[in-house]
Parts: sequence; C-alpha cells; structure tokens
Amino acid sequence: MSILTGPMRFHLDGHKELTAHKEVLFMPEPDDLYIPLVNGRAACTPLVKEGDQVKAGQKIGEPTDAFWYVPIFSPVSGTVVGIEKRMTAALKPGEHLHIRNDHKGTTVQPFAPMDYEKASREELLEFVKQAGMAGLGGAGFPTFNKYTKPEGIDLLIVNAVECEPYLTADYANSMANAKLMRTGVLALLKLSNAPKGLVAVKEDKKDLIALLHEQFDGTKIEVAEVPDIYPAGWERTLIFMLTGKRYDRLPAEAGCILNNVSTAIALGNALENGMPITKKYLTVSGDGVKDPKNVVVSVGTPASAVIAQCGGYEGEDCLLIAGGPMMGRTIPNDQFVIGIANNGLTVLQHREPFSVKCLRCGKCTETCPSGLVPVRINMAEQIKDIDSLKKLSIMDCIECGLCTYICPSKLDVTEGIRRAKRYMALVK
Amino acid sequence: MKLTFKPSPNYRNKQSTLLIMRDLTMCLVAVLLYSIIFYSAKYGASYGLRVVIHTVIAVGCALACDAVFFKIMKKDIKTGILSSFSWVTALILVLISRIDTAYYAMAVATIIAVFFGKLVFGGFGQNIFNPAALGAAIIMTNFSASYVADFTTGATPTTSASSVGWMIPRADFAEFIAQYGGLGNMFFGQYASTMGSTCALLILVCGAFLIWRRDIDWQLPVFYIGTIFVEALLIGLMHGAGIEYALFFLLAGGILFGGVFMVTDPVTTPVTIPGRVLWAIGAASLTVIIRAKANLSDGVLFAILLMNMLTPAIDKLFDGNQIKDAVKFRNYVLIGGAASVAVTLLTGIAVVPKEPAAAAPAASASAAPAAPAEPSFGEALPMNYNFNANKTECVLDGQEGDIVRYACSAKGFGLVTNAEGTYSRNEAMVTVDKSTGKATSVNIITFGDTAGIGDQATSEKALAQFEGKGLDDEVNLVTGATFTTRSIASMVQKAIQMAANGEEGTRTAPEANFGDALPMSYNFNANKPECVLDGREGDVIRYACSAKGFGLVTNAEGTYSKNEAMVVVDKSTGKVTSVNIINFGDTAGIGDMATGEKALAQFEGKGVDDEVNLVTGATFTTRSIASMVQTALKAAAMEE
Repeated sequence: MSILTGPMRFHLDGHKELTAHKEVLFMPEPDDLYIPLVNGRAACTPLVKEGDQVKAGQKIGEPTDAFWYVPIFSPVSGTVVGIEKRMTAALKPGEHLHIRNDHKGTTVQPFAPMDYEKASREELLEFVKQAGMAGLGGAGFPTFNKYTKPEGIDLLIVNAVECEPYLTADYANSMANAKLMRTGVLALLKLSNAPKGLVAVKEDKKDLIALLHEQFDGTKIEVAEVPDIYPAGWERTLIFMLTGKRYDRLPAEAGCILNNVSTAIALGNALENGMPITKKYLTVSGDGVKDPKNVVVSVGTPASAVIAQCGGYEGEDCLLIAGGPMMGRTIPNDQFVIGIANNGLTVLQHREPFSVKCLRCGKCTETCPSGLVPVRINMAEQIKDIDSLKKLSIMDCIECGLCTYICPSKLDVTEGIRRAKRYMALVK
Repeated sequence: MKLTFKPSPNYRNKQSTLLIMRDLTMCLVAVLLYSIIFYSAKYGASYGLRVVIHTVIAVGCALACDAVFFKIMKKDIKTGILSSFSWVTALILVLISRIDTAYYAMAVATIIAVFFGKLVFGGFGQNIFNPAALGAAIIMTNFSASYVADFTTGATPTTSASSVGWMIPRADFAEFIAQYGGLGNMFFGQYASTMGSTCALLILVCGAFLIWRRDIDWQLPVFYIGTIFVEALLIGLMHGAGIEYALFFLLAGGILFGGVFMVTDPVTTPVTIPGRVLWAIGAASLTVIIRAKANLSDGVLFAILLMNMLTPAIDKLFDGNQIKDAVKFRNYVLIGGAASVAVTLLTGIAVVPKEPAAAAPAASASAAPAAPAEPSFGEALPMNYNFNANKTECVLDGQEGDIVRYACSAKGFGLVTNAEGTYSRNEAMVTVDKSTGKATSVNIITFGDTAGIGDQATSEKALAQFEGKGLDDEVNLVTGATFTTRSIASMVQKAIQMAANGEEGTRTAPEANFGDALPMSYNFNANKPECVLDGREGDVIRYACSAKGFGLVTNAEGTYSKNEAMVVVDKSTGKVTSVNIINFGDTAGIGDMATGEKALAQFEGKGVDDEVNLVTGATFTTRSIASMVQTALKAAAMEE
C-alpha cells in the first residue's frame, strides 16, 4: 500500500543543539505575575479577591465545568492586585489574576502526597483531578478525563518524542527529574489498567534513552525508540508507528492512552511532594534571541521577562512564537504570560521567502500526516468550492504545518486550509 | 525592534522551486552537452554547432516571450522570468526536436510553447499542457516540411521501427539492431535520434539524481517506463519477439527522456500519488498504442498531451483522504491501470510486422555515399540451399559462346512474407560459364536493402566469393548482411540452374488496371521530360526520350529515378505509333505495371488532345511515360 501513499512524515532540522545541553536557568520570580483564569481550556472562577494575601501552592481558582476541570494554584506568595484583561497566548483577550510577589516564598501544600502503589485506582484518579493535572504537551486537556473509562486499553504510551523543532523542554525536564518521571509514569500505568506501557523517545536522544532504561528496566514500561521525523509526536502518527493501527476519533479505539512525559513528571511531583503545576520547563530558542536556553519559570510570568533573562532579542524584526515554529503561534507583542500548556518560546528573525506560484508538485500531499491533499484544498478554497472542500475532509487537518514547511514555492499552505475551515464553519 | 505576525508554521524547508529548476536545468544542460559532443564527433563540427544555435534560439525566444509578457502585464521582468522557468521549457523543446529542424521552426515552436502553452493560462503552474510537448507537436504537425535536407543523419530507430510496424521478430532482431550498433550502443547513445534522446545512460543518471534530490517523484517515471516495458514485452511475445525487443522499445525514441524530464512535470500531472500512478500507466499505454498503430513514428509527445487533458479529471477522482479512502483509491488504480493495459494488449494483437519498404530507399538516399563497410564472413552457405523464399527470377540478357549472362532479381531483406511484390528486391547481373556450370561474375544492378548494413554483402570482396562457384560449392554469409547474401546467392543459383537447362526466362510484367483519366495535354513539367531525335522515315519520327519517374521529393540533380523510352510519332496525323520502354528506373513490381504491353498500347493512335488512363498503383510511372509521349508529339509537330 505504501507505493500509493507518500511517507506522510518528514525529517526536519531540529536545531535542538542550541539548547539541549545547556544548563537550565531557574528564573528568579518576577515582581508581578498574571495567572490566566482559563487553565488550558478550563475556565475558572477566582477563589481570591483584590487585596487578599496568597501563599505559594494555594488554590486560587475553581473550574466552572466538571469536564474541563483544571484548578489553578498560586506559584508565589504575595498580594492579589485584581483581575485584569490581558492578551493570552491564544491571541485573545482573557482575564488574568494579578498577583504582586512579596518574594517571601511562603508555601502551603494544597494537597497531601500520595503513595500511588497503595492507593486504589479511584483514589488515584480523584487525586489527579484535584491536583489539576493537564496535558502539558500543549493541549492542556484535563488528564483525569482520559482515565475515567479505561476499558479495552492495552497500551499506555508516554510521549517523550518532542518533535517540534527547537524545543528541548521535555528533554531537559526528563533528564533533570528522572525519579519523578518514574513515579508519574507508573502511576499513569496503574490508572490506565493497561498490561504494559511504552515511553516513546526519538532514537537520536541516546542519553535520555539510557536514563529511561535505567529507570524502567524491570517494570512493565518499555522504551520505544522512534525515528527523528515530524510529526512523530502527534498521537496518530505515534500510535501508527508503535502499533501499526489507525483510528477514527480517539486513541482508545486503538486501545491506547497517551500522555506527555511532562504530564507524568508533574504527576510524580504531585504524588511525591504534594505540589501542583506552578512552574514550567520552557525552551527559549531560535536565531532571534541572544542566549537560547531552557528556563524554569512560574506560570503567570510575562514572556518579555523570560526573553530578557535570555539576553533579549537579536535582530530588528522578529517572530515571537509561543511554542515551536511548526505549530506555535506568532504573537506580535511579548506581554502575554506563560500558562501551564506553554513549553517554549521560539524567536526567529523575520525573513520573507521568495514565493512563486504553486507548481502542483504534490509534496504537501506526500508528507501530510493526515493523508490530505493540501494543494487541492487550497485550490478549492480559492474558488470557494464547497462540494470539493467537503470531499477533501479538511476537518482532519491538525494544522501541523508540514505542508507549508515542505512547499518549495513557499506558499502559506496551512493558512489556506485554516481559511477553508473557517469558510466551512461559516456556510454550514 | 519589532515583532511581526505571521500565521504558523514559521519554518521552511531549504528546497525551493528555484532550486528544483536549477537541478533540472543542470541535468538538461548535461544532456545538451552530450548531444553537442556526440554530433560534433560523429557528423562534424557543423552539426554540433547546429545544436548550440538551436539552444540559443529557443532559450532566447523563451526569455524574450517572458520579458514581453511581463512588460505588458506591468510586472517586474526579472522576478517574472525567475518565477516563470521558461528556459526549462526551451531546453526540453530543443532536446526533443530533430537536428534537421529549421531554425525558424524552432523559434516559432518555442514562442508557441511559452506563450500559448503557458503564459496565456496565467503563467507557471497554471498551464494544462506540457508546454515543451505542445511546441514539439507544433513542429511535428505543422512544420514537417521545414526539415533541413543538409543535416541528415539517416533513419532514427523510431522511424526504422515504425516502418516495420514496430515489431521485430526474434529471428530478425540481430540484423535490425545492427544498424544502430546493437542495444549496448543505443544505451550509451552512439546513434542519432532527437537531439536529447540519445544517451540512455546519461538520462537515467539524471533521473536518479533528480529523484535523490527529491526534485521529481519516483512514481511517475518508474510506472511510466515500467508499464511500457511490460506492455512491449507482452506484445513482443505475442509476435515471436523476445526481451531484447522490449529493451529496444524502451531505448528507441523519447521514452526515457520523456519519462525523466516530461512526464515528471508536476504542473501538468496529478497531485496525488495514486493519481500519478494511474496517469503514468495511462500515458505509457497511449505511448505503446500510438507507436503500434498510429501514423506517428513515436508516441511519447501525444501520449503526454492526451493524458494532460485527463489530469483535472484524475485529480478530482482522487480527492479525499489518502488514508481513509486508501482502499477505494487503490481499486481505482487497479481497475484503471488494468483496463488501459488490457486495451494496449488488445491493440498489440493487431500489430502487423511490415517490410521497411519506404524507409529503406529513404535511408539509402540520405546516407552519405560512403563505401560499403568491409564485410566479415560468418557461417557457410551451401549454393544448393533452398532459396524458395527469395522468389528469384532470371532473364537471359546475353550470350557469348559458353558465357551466359542473366539479369536476375530476388527478394532481399524482408521480415515477413507479405502480399506479392511489396518487399524490397535486389537485382544483379550474373554471368555463368555453361561449360563448367560455375559463376564467373556477379554485379549488383539495384540494391534494395538497408543501406549501411545490407550493402556489406555487395562489396567487391563479398561478391568475389561467388566467382568460380557451382551448385556443389559453398560461400560464406556476410555478418550483419545475411539476408542480402542469401538474396544474391539465390540469384547466382538460379542463373547456374537456368544456364544448365538453357532456359531464357521471361520478364513478367504484372497486368495493368486502369484508373483515372490522364489528358495528354497535362502539365508534365515536374517530370522534366526530354526527347532527342533518333531516326526518321518520312512522317514517322522516332524519339529517344527520358523523364523523371517516381520520386518523393526533388533531391539534388540526377538522384531521382529516370525512365527512358523510344516514342514513334506519325507527324502527318500528330498521333503516336508506338512506345517502347528502354530503361525502367522505377520500383520493380509496382511501377512496371505501367510498362506492360497493355499499358503501353493505350498510347497508340493518341494525340495531344486525347487522353489515356492512369495505371492503378503505377500512376507516377504512367505520368512519366505520358510526359515523354507528349514531348515527342510536340517535338514532332515542330519538325520540318
């Protein structure tokens, strides 16, 4: 069958050497933090009001939705200044809880640590929910939701692939917190009821692979090496590479549950230390920043403060990207704050490529991991051919960006598909 | 310092369309350089220079076309040219054209290719037809008369193969391929074809390079060339040809060049992989069908152009999700591919191997008058061999004592026995010593086989071996010219046999059938008839006349066939008394139908106001004779 389909993936130059082996900077807490009141996708009502004193670790926001349940905890001790509207990393205005840091570091444990081996699966699931665990790979999906009905799950996959170029935050986090990772992964395995688990990692990360073997050999967790291609870390591509299975909607159809390795580490931290997610490993990299490195920052820290810690901008015209350059958004100002789902800031010097007309080479089709025909979608979108767009199953596009990356004519192919999606939503 | 907004992703592959076109240009220039070197080395510097001038004209016209277009469209000319890539079209057009294409035809074709093939559709990426193929089709169909006669290189493999119906049974393959020095020679490109289609090795290396650089995808060339190979192999097997025929099929003409440089044109081929596979199989099948059954000698160009028209439909067919609809798309490819291969094979059943009747004289006319190659002798050929297949005929031509001279003719190289009279014939004078029953000399009068190959058997050394040979002796076959050797030997055998029996033999002129009327007042200028007074008895005047016979084109003076006749005219009545053919120069077995008694008798009693009838199948010869009669009648009227 592979004769009639393309590789549906591509090796990208990751530029990971810029940050992978540099010392991680534990960033000093800023004076002012702005905690987004939307945690991942979970809207929260604040539990504190203007003038209140808060402690580090204190629960300050309660989700309004039982499904999207990710409570908010304060990263620092200080005073609540108020609720302010600021632009979020999603380029939309959102409410933020403004906390002025008193730099005292008064800490409170919001929940007790738990021994996952002794606890029942139900107790563990409730712990995960109350500790505010969410998918840290970028989606911010509440973790407990994945494990409420683990019937038919025969494989847990912990995703340490990190296929976005430039990003090494997961790698640095894993290398630094192997013990917590072990705890978190084994706890997730217990939650999943699966007979075994895999930690998927790119084959070129030799030191991480050795560390994983050291931690997991002798357990039900195996180390799975995957090739250095994009998007190896996307769940459909990853599950296909590891199991040979395709599925329609959810990984559970293929008997799999996926979680990011940083989520596992956060869970390990919660289980062992009773601490929620208030700090993030963040990669700051790219040719538009003077001193690329991994930093550990508190949730609520403005991007400008992070960039300043990395030597500031390089060049006169930059693209500031929340995340990696493939799927991350450019944000035209650096006042947005780091949320729990952020794992990188990529700063690239802005150069317009020389663009020519589409030559219909079909490279976008061959590499599309969703099996779409981006060139045809773009053509249909230009003439607003709704029937063709329906046939071209554009809603399967995950906007991974590979079609724009591969396009030799330097066209914004992915953006064309986004326009097509918006058009479809309008006419429906 | 400013932060700019750009939609994601903001990361780009190094490969660009400009770099793809650079690689493509490098490969085309490599093929072009090989062509320049090859033509210079084999035919002389003027041929190599001709390739260069063609390139300069085509690229110049393409860039000028772009410049004018972008000027009119009020766009930046340099950016326009750099994003239009018309020089690639021009290079491909040069490489798929013949070296004897006229310069003006090349200029016109380039302008049509770039302007009507590409720019009018909106420029690069928007055109439906492969522009270079369109331009070449224009040259082939509209400028076929514009080929320059001075630059001739002999019959290309495709024209030779086309003249035998694209079918060469295994038994005849060695002799056929020998004219191009064998398959190996073709693979390394030591023969003339279109300017770029010579060196298969170089083209394949270019293809591998472009695939490795991800400039072209591998499915199109592999499925195109592979399908043609399989179809040629199967059709060959139906007609007794082997794998060597399929290899020849691939190496001849533009399949490899088209497969690497033309079917891989992304603009005019489908965008999905299953679509491309189906497209390639369809293009391959059309190529084989056009070669096997159509008038064109090669089918690559029109197969590409026809499939270009199907590209939008194929794209539409494969719209969907390549993962979710994989089974459906695979079935489309299987059904469509199987159908087109089946149609091709059905067509292949109808392939009829033909005699290279038209190609052989054309080739001998255009080949340099070089001395026949030195023959090398192969297997023995006993003189009492059964030569029935050669249908040899001899007529007593003269006798001096025991030395008898016979004018003989025999079938020459012929791939299969066709209807009577359509295959090539050789003619020779054979003298035999009746007393010893041995041949004394053999002289070739008419050589009808393939020039440059068969004529090795007509060299002095080859003919000398018949001297002093009787029916119990044996001679040796000339390597590479076994058919011609057998043809000559059959005439020697017949002459010896007839001399022993004292037979004279009769020339058999086929019975004439009359067709359209031909007024004797017709304008026969093209025949260039001439008459000389030969004798006179009162009003009865005899003229010795000559006139041009059957000739496809007017060549240099004296190279076309001439007929000669004695025409007797009665001056008092202004009518013809008799016509006798002295020398018949047209095709034996065809034209000589007009020289039969019945055909000549119709001129008797005719004047310039009367009319005769054309002999069916021998109209040229009839006109030739009539032109002499007309000239004699006019000359007689002028006589005192």
